[in-house]
Amino acid sequence: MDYILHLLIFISFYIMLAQSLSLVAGLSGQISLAHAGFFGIGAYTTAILSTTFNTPFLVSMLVSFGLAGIIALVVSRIAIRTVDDYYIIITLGIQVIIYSIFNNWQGLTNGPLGITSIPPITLFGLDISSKWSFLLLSGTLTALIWFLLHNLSTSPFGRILRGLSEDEVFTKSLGKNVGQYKVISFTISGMLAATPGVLYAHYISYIDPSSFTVEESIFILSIVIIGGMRNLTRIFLAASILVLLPEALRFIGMPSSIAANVRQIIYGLALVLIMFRYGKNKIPKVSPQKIES
Amino acid sequence: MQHVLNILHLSSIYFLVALSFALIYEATRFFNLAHAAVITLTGYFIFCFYNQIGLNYSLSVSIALLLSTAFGTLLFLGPFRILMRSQAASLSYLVSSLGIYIAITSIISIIWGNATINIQNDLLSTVLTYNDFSIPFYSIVSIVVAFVVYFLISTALKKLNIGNQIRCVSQNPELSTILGIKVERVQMITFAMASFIGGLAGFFYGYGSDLSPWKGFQVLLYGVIVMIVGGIGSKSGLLISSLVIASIQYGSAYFIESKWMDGMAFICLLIVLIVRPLGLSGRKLKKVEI
Repeated sequence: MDYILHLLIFISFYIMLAQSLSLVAGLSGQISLAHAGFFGIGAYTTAILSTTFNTPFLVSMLVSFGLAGIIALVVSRIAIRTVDDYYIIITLGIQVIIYSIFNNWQGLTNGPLGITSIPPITLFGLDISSKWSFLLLSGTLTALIWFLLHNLSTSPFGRILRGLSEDEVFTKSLGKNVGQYKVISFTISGMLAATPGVLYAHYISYIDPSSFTVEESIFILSIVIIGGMRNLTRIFLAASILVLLPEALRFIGMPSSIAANVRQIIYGLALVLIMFRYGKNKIPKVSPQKIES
Repeated sequence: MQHVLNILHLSSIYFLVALSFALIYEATRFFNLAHAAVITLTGYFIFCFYNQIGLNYSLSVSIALLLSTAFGTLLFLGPFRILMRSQAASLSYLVSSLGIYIAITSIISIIWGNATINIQNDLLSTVLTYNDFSIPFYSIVSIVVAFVVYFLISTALKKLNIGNQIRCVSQNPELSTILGIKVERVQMITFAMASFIGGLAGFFYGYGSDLSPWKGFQVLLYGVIVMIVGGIGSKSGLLISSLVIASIQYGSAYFIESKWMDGMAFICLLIVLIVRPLGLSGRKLKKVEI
């Protein structure tokens, strides 16, 4: 039973991560590979604060929000100056830089050794150390984020994001400050991604840079893509399936090292197949092949 | 002087990766992240043939290069051509190439494990010393190969018929079709060339630093940085920017600490993109069609 709770808690983390990424990657079409970095910023901020200063949970949560938000703001301001494909490379670069800081700034983050003995959460005097209470907390936050994102995407703000994802020039011609919307959505997305980071740090009570790598970013992005980019419910399903997949494979008898790789093969191929089926251009353009025939 | 040699060695690898990636990007306009898989696979094929099966070293390297060229071309003929024919959005190529990369890397990990492997050979590893600096033989080989490839590709693109066709397709695929150039065939040939050069890069990179399944992506990233910094469309720009990036990385290793090398390369990229969004050579790539 404990193990099932553990899995559910992890699923809730990935739901929060993927849904916050869907605000930029799905709704506004800015595919970002920096999300594991924001996840890590949330985790490391709360880890450093609670082990050094013993700050209460809500305070470290707010500080992580702020820090992730500032970094997301700076990053997106630089990144919006670039075209489509370069944008992804910039976000990838940010991810590498953030990981580099986690791994190398040993005075602050203890480098590859990570930070240990992160205290459990005490919220309003209640001790949240049992799995049930943690699941309750994590689930509540997941629901809150889901609610927030749903409202954002159905609001005029969300409509503009959708518009600029399909045709930026067109949206600009309607008088919307495209750059500003991109920056705002990226910042919100980064801040929301810090939440599971904070929870993760307190749940596992030990963090190290290896949880916040490029591969992790790619995995979160894959959940968003497999979940259909924009639909929050489908992303919830995709997150659940992808997190449970190695467990299911292990259940059948596959050794766990191979199970992890097989999961990657499955979602790698899923990405390809999804692009085959759904990756078409909305506006068909005349292709050389058509002229030839 | 020692540092100069080291920088030249590093930049030769970056140049080969960047050149192969740039060839694909210019000819087909998509960001083929699966190229990293081609790069990694070459190293693993060499490992398979030389260390595991026990073939002669040069034979192993040649077969590995041929196999990766074939593999890269198959990637084009298979998934990418399907995407092209169905007029996919440019982001779809990136995502599906990422998916292919993940799948191939996981397969490599299953077959050969996650531990780093070594594809070195006594002859190539011999270190030549002169006065007070030393350079391993494979460094010299990689620098020479990089220059040879640069000259070959530059002249081929201008003098050979197929080179002109590649340049046409890179500039304007629609117009090339009207002129009677078989765009798909040209793109396939570019893919083959690029996979071969990428294979060379994978060989030299895997030789110098031990190979593990995810390393191909790392070196591809550096190649992409070199390509973006150097600007699209200019092969000499690639050469210069690979020297620049390698120097900055070495400089940061020398003056600060070697663990910041990765981050420094990206910081350099960010600065260049802020100052000159089109790269150092500043050539404009016709990307947005209104």
